[in-house]
Amino acid sequence: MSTSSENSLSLIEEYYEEQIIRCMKCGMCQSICPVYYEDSLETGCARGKLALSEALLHGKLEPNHKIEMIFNKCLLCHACAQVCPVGLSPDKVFAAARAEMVKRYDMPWIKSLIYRKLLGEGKLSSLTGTLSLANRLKLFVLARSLSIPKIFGKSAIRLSFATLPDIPSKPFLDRFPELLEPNSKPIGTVGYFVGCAQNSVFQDVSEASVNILLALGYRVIIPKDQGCCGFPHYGAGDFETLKQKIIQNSSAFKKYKLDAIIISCATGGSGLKDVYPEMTKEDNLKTLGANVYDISEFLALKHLDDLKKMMPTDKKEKIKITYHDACHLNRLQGISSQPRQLLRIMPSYELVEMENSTKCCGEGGGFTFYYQNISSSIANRKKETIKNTGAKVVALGCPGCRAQISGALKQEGLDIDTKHTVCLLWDEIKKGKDSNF
Amino acid sequence: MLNKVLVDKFVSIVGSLNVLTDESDLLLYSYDATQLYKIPDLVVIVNNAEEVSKVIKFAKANNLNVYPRGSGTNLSGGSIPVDGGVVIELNRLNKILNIDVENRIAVVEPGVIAATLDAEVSKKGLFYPPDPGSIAVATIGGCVAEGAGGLRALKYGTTKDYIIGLEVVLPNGDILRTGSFSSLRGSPGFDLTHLFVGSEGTLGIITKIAVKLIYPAKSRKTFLVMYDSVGKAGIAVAKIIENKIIPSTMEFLDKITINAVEDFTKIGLPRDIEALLLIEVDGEPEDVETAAKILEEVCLSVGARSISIAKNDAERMRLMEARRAALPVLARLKPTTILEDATVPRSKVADMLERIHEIQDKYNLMIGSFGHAGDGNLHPTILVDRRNKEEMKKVDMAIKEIFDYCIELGGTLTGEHGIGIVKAPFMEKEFKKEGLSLFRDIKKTLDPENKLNPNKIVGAKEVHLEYI
Repeated sequence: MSTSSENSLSLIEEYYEEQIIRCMKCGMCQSICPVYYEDSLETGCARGKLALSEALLHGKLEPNHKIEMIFNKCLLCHACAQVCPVGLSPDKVFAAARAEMVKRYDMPWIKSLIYRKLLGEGKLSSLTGTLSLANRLKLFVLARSLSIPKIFGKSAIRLSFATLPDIPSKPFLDRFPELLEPNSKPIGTVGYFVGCAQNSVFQDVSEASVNILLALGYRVIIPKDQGCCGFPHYGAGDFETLKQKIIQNSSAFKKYKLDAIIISCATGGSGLKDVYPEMTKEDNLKTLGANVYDISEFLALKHLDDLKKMMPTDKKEKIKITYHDACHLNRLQGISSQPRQLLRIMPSYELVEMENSTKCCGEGGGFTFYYQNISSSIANRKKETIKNTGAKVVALGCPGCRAQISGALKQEGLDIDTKHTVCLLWDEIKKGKDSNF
Repeated sequence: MLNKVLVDKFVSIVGSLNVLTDESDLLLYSYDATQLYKIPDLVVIVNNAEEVSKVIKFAKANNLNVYPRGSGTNLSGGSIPVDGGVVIELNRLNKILNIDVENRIAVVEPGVIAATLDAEVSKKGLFYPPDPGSIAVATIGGCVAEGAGGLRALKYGTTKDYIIGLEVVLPNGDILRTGSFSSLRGSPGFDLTHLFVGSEGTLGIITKIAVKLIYPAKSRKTFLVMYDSVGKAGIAVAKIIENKIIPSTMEFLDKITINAVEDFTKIGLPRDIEALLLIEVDGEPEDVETAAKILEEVCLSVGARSISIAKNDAERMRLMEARRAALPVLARLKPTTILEDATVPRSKVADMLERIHEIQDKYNLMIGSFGHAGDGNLHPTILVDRRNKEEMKKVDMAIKEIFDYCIELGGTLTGEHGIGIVKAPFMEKEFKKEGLSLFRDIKKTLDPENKLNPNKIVGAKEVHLEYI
C-alpha cells in the first residue's frame, strides 16, 4: 500500500468532488437518520453536512470548531447511504472531513490520549491495563457521579463505561497462545482478529469464538503482534494512525498462510472489509493475506449443520431472545440473517424480533463523547423496543452496541442480559457436550 | 447577520436554543431540493402558532422578510430565503392532534411527516391517498403549501382534494381559522381554505391542518405494459380511460429511463421498447377483476408488445421496481439531476415527449422522462454536471422551450412541485396579464408590505440563485 501523507488528502478530495457534488438535496436521509430524528436539525442529517462540505470546498465557509462539531454529529451508522437515491456514502465523506479537521486542529488531549496512546500503541495491553484499573477503582462510576464530563469540556464519560463488566487484568492476547491446535486433524487454518474491546473488556467473546473454531476442527492462529483495527481512528479522523494500523495488521496476518481471517467484532470487521480497501485500494486478500469473515457469517455459511449436531437435545422452556442489528454488521457488511440462523438452531432460545432492530443504538464511537444527550436518547428508544419484546436476552455482534445497550438496560435496572451471539452459541455447545456424556 | 438587539428579541420569543445565528447553521437553512441556495439572516425554530404569530409581528415591525420552511424538500425554490430575512422552521410542530374515525377526519400540525400521517391513519383502517415521491420526508404542511400530488393522483386526486380546514397565521400576525375541523361540509362564502392550499407560504403560515380520510381499497391488480412507440402508449392511456377505467396508478417511463433502470437493476426490461406503463387498478375485488380484463384487452388492442400481471405481493413489488428505480438510476448517470415537472392534457403526452426528445438533441443534453401518464404529469429529468457553466446555460434554454411548448399544448407549469422561485418567470405565460395581476392583488391584500416569502409565485422581482 501507499503510505504517502498525500494519500488521505487525495481520498478526501476525491470524495469532496465526486460524492458531495452529487447530493441532490432531496433530504431523503432525514427519513432514516437517528440523529435527525432526535432534534430535527439540519446539522444532524447527511444533506446538511454534505452542504457544509460543499461550502468548505468552494471556499464559501472557512473551517472552524463549530463546523468540526457538526461533522462529529454523525454516528457513521451508514443508514443514510441505504436510502440515498443517488447512492452516496455520506459517512465516508464525513470521516474524511473529520480527518481534514484533525489535520488542521490536531486532536484535543483527551482524544489524543485515547486514540493515539491507548488504541494506537502497537500491542493492546496498555488499554486493558488502564481500563481494568480504572474499572476496579470504580473511576467511571465516580466520574459520572461527579460530573467530570464538565472538566472535559463538551465531552462526557460515556453511559456505557459506568456499567462495564469486571475487566480481567490480563488481556486476551496474553492469556491465549499464538497457535492453537484442534483435537483432531485440522480441517483448515484460520486467523483470529481479536480487536481492542474483545482483547480487554469483552474477552468472553474472543474465548467463545476461538473455542467454537477449535471445536469445529480449525487450527487457530492469533497473531501476537496484531493491533487495533483502526476503525476508531478512521471515525475520529486520525487517518495517520489508521494507516499505521493497516501496516501493522497487514504484516501480523500476512506472515501466516490462512484460509480465512475471522473476527467477532462488527466494527473491526467493517474496518477490515470496508475501510482497508478504501484506504489501500486493494482487497483483503492482498492486504491481509486472506478474506475476512465475521464469525456469525463464517459459521452460518460453512458450519450450520455441524453446529446443529453440537446442540443440546433437552427442550425445556425456551428463553425469549431478541437480536439487535449492529450498523457495522448489518449495513457495512450486509450481515443480518446469519446471526439469526445461529440463534434459531439454539434449543434454549426462542427468537422474538424487536421493532426497528436495524436502528442504531446511538453509540457511534466518539459521538457519545460529543453528543451524550442525543446518544442516550437514542439508546433509550432502543431499550424500549427491547423491553417490548419481553426478551430476557439481547443478542448482538458488536462491542460498542453491547456497552451502550447494556448500559441503558442496567440504568433502568432491567434484568435483561446483553450477549454476543457466539457466547450464547458456545454456552449451548458446552451444554451439548455435557448432555452427550 | 442581524444585530444583537433583534436577535435577543427572537430569543425572548422562542428561547436561545431555537434561534440559529452561526454562519454554518444559516447555510443549512439556505437551500431546498432545487439545490439552489441563499443564506438567510436568521433561523427561528417555532413550537406553536402563537410563537409563529409573535415572530411574524416582530419581523414585520422590523422590516424583515419571513420564510416558512418544513423539511426543505420542495423542488421549486419555495423555501429558499431569496431576499434575506428570517427562516421560520416548522418541523417541530409535529403532533397528530386527532384522528376522528367516525367522521373520517384527522387534525394535524404542519410538521408531521406525510408518511407518518398515512401510517397512523392506516392503523385505524383509514387511508390518506396523496403520496408524493418525497412522502418519507416531506411535511404535511409543505404538501398543503405546494399542493403535492403523487402516484395515486389520477384516481384519488392530490393534496388539494383532502384539505377541509386550516389554521393560518396571516402576514399581519393574526391567527385565522378556515373551513371546518370537524365536518366535511365546508363553511359558506369564499373558499378561504383553498386560497391557502398551494399558496406556497406566500399568503400565510399554516399551523394546523384538517384532512379528510377515506377507506382503503380492498383489492388491487398491477400491470406492466411495454410499447414499441410512445404514441401507442399514449393512445392506450387515453383508451383505458375512455373505457371508464380509472386506474389508481398509471405511470410512464421513456426509453432513456428504461435503459437506465435496466443498466442498474438488470430486471430484464427489453432495451428496444420506447415506453413502459405501470398500471394499477384497485377497488372491490369483483370490480378489479372486471377492470383488469378490460384493461388487458385495451392494452393489447393498441399493440402492446407484452403485458406482465402481478399474481401476488412479491410480483407486484417486482413490477413496481422499474418505476421506483426511475429517479435513482437517472440520478446516478450524471453528477447533477434537475427534476422538472410539466403537465399537459393526457392526449398530448406523446407530443410533449416527442418535443422533449427534439430539445434534448438540439442542446445535446441527456433528458430522461417518466411520470404520471394518467394525468399528463411528466417529469423530464435533465442530467448534467452543474460545474459545466456552458451546459447549464443550455439547460436554462431547454427548460424554457419545454414550458413554452407545454403551455402551447394547453398544459400547466407544474403538476405537483409548485411555482416557487424557479417557475415564477413563466407565470404570465400561463395566466396572462389579467391572471397574474389578480394573483398579485390577492398577495397585496394579505401581505401589503410583501414580507412573507416574497417573490415566490407572483415573481415581483427577478431573482438569480446559485448552487453552493
